[in-house]
Amino acid sequence: MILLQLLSATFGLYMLYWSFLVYKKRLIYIRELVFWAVVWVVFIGVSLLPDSTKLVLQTFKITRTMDLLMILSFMVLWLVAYRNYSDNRKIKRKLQDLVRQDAIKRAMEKKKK
Amino acid sequence: MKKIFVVIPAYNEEKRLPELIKKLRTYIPLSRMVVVDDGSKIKLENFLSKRVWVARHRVNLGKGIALRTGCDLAVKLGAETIILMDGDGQHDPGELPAFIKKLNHGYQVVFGARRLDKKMPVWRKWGNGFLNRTVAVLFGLNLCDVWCGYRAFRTNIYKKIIWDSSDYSSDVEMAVAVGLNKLKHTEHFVGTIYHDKESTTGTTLHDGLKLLIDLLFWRVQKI
Repeated sequence: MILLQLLSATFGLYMLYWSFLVYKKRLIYIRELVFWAVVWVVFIGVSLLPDSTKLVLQTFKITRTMDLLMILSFMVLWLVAYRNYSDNRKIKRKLQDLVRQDAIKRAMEKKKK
Repeated sequence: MKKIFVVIPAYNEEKRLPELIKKLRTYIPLSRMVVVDDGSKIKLENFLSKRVWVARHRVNLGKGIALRTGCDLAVKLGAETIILMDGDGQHDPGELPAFIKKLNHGYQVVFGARRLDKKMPVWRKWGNGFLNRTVAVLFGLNLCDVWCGYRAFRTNIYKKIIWDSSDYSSDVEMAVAVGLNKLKHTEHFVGTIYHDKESTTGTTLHDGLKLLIDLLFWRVQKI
């Protein structure tokens, strides 16, 4: 169990470091860094101290800490998936508008020449 | 006579498009033709007269988006009537006067409808039949060939029928908008030239299934 806990904590630490790197490259905003930092700190905390979730487990009638982690993971995954989907749609729409406007503009300019 | 423009979306049609333009010249001046080169590998303008309007997408965006670019350009150029044709030469330019005649009779939209002759591949006949019936049930629009890209409309209704689809389903979305807005429409039967039986540029079963989902979505959206 200790080995698995150590692995999880190392993974969490690495992800925390990665989030910081991504922020340093200005690919995410500070609020996003804070969100991910909280996610990974909680992950590390729960990995090292599984009993710390007792209160939450009792409140939500969840049997094991692992189950709680799975539920939270799915929630985060859905959030990220939806965010990716909506961002993709936004980028696609912007790209279409840009290419279309550019095509019309160049067609009209060519005729003027 | 209303200012008429023909809009032709095309992708890698350097072989068939010049022939189509040549045939079209009999019915409409070159300066009233708008070709949208949807990111072809070889620039289509190299094969066309300089008098034809060519709008080139830097990347391939799909037929629906190419049609919008073409229609937007035509409207900017003062078009009052737009005729849509496919760039692969499937549509006979000889039918053009019949479309214009029907518009002059007061119709706002004229849909082309391919005759169900022996030349049409069987799977297309079945697919089209099923699709036509689905559109009729969902939107009360009784068309013989809702997927035919050969059609004409007055530009004063363009904003009402504008479509979002980027692929072949834009033809159906446009027709659905005509039904929902109760625009005055009719059909004109056209002959179709099928170049190859296993064309990969046309619609596939996957497109058909995707379209069925879109139809249900549009129905729910417009309640």
